[in-house]
Amino acid sequence: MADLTRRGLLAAGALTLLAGCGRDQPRQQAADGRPHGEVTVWLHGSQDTGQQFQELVHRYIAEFKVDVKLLYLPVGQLDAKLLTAFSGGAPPDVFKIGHWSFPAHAKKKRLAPVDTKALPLQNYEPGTTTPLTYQDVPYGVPIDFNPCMLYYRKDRFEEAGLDPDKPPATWEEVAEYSAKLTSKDGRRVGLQWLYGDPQWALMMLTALVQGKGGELVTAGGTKASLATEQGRGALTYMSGIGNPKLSNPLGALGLFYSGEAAMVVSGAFLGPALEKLGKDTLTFGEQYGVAPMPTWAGGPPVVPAYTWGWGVAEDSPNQFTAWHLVNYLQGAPSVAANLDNGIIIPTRGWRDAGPRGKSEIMKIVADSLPHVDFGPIIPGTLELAKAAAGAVDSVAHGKATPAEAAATFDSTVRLVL
Amino acid sequence: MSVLGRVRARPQATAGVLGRGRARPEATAGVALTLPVAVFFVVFWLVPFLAAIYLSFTDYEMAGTPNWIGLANYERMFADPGFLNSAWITVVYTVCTVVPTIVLALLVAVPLSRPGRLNRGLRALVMIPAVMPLAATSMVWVIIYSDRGLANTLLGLVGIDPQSWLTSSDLAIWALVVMVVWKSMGLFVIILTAGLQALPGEVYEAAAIDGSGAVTTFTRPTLPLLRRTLLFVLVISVAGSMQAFVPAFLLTGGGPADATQVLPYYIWANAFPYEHMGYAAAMGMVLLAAMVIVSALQFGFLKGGDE
Repeated sequence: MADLTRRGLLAAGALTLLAGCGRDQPRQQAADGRPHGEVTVWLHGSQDTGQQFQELVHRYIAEFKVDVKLLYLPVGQLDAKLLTAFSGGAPPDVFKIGHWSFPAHAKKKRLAPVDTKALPLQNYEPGTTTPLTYQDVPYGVPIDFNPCMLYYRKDRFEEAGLDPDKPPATWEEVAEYSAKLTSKDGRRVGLQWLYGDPQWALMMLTALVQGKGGELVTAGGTKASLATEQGRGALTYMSGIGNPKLSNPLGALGLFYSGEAAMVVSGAFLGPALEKLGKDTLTFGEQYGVAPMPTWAGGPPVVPAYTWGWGVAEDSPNQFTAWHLVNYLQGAPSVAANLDNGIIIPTRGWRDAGPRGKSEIMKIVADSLPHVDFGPIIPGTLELAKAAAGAVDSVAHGKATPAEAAATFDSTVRLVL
Repeated sequence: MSVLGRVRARPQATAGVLGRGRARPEATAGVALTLPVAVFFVVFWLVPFLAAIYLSFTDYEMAGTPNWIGLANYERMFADPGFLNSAWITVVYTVCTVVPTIVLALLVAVPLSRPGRLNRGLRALVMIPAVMPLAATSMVWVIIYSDRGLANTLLGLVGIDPQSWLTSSDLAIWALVVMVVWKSMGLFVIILTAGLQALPGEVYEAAAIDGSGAVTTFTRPTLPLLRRTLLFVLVISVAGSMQAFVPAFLLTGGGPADATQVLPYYIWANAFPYEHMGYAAAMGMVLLAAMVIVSALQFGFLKGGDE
């Protein structure tokens, strides 16, 4: 009998333990419109804005008596850990992910729609929440919003006999300049693409294909369509510029810094990053300049863009507080601190938040806002981007003709649409 | 009574002395002692394996309920350029890592199998790459293959231009192969050395009396007698190469231009970043079937002739 009692106690203890492993808290929605409880936040860290972010969180904790638990993760591990958390039914309340991840998570009902009582969306510049919207429902707000622009090395332009104050404005000029800037051995090039990076390949193809009136995926996201005149033309164009065999620990941006690449397409973050990399050797206006994203001659402006965004888990027991916290973290102090590091939080009036808002780079960003294009907002964005990189790289490496690569792209993407 | 007879007689004597009442507790203890391992096997091997078979017939995408879709995932593979490319890359990678690894290991093992203090030291040295963690090894090779790394420095010494080892779609797969051969060879050298040292000395004495040269001795008595060891090395080597994931993941990320996207990498990409768990499970089943078939062929090819 004593044994049985002991066993029973052990079994009861084990069951209690197992039950404790689950997460079945009641939802703590704020009926009083005030945040409370506990919120977990997963994000990738930034040395530049990390301290300011921490201070802001501590202020929030002190002001609203909410327990905020931060978990910093390496950017390369964030998606995998988040997926594990979703699959295990224990996601964080708040997380920062790329805009390309939002549609798939939204389709799988992992994301909570923005609670506009806690976070007014009208505070944001028009169109800037579009990439975080799926089937007309907004699921996130942008941070690190990056319309693309052209960075060019003035010193390399001068060496090649080009006017350093007249950057190329069209893709035709980019090709022409690149030919003049490329050395015979190909170790120094004009424009260098970001080979092997799916998201950047997708953005470049978006600019080149849509700039000629084509599309990567038909409206409604039902059919891939790179095997068109515009698609094949874009691949041919890309294969004629840059050198896919060049390498640098910092990728194409490192090649630009070293001067091996005279031009590169990037976001607003690159300016401050370059200043920090080589304060004495690479200065804006002297060694390098920026220009708006090129267009095809006579074609419409298409500015590819990407953004990171804050999202809240559908399974979060504390959604109101989660959105309230996000709104706080996107406030004026954050906008100013991030802007100083070239990171844009596109709330209304963001350019007035600090002196860098008036810079040439930020003017280009502001002017490009009406033309930004985030590519197809579909759940298969990751596969689409991978297929885009596959097409661009295979043509650049001479593994396939533009027609073959475009056909492979369409075959691959068809399976995921 | 012979020793064998005594050993054989013991169970009867034991049963007679201890009686049936004692056998049951022993059986219970046996079950109790093996139960944890059995549970572990069922929970962490059998159930996931059966679940993977089931998932391969579903559209499971890491959310919601898996829906039965029959053979659709298996049909999809043949229309998927990514799968076909990865399958081909895996074949190339497997052949090009297994053959040189075994040939080189054998060439190194033959001299190292002879007794001597120096050989013992050398055997320990060739084992070093094998005991290094693969992730750390991969990072070291990334540095070796960098623009100004050891590989290009050595080429420079003989007047050859630097190469883009990991960013050239023509060279990347070979860069991986070299690293894997270097990494795997040590273990196979040790296994083959043990096999060579276990071969009967009389055969070699007879061969020497017959005037057999080094090459004939190697091809006639040594290789056929080493058949079982070679079979073991071949099977684990092929299985290891067909499942290889880490080198492609850490050195090249499957690129450039998918030139190193081996099938395990493609399965991983579909399972996790893309969340097509059902499709990934189906590809996993095909990879498993291929490994079983290849292993069976290896057994059939090298098993005969033991007598």
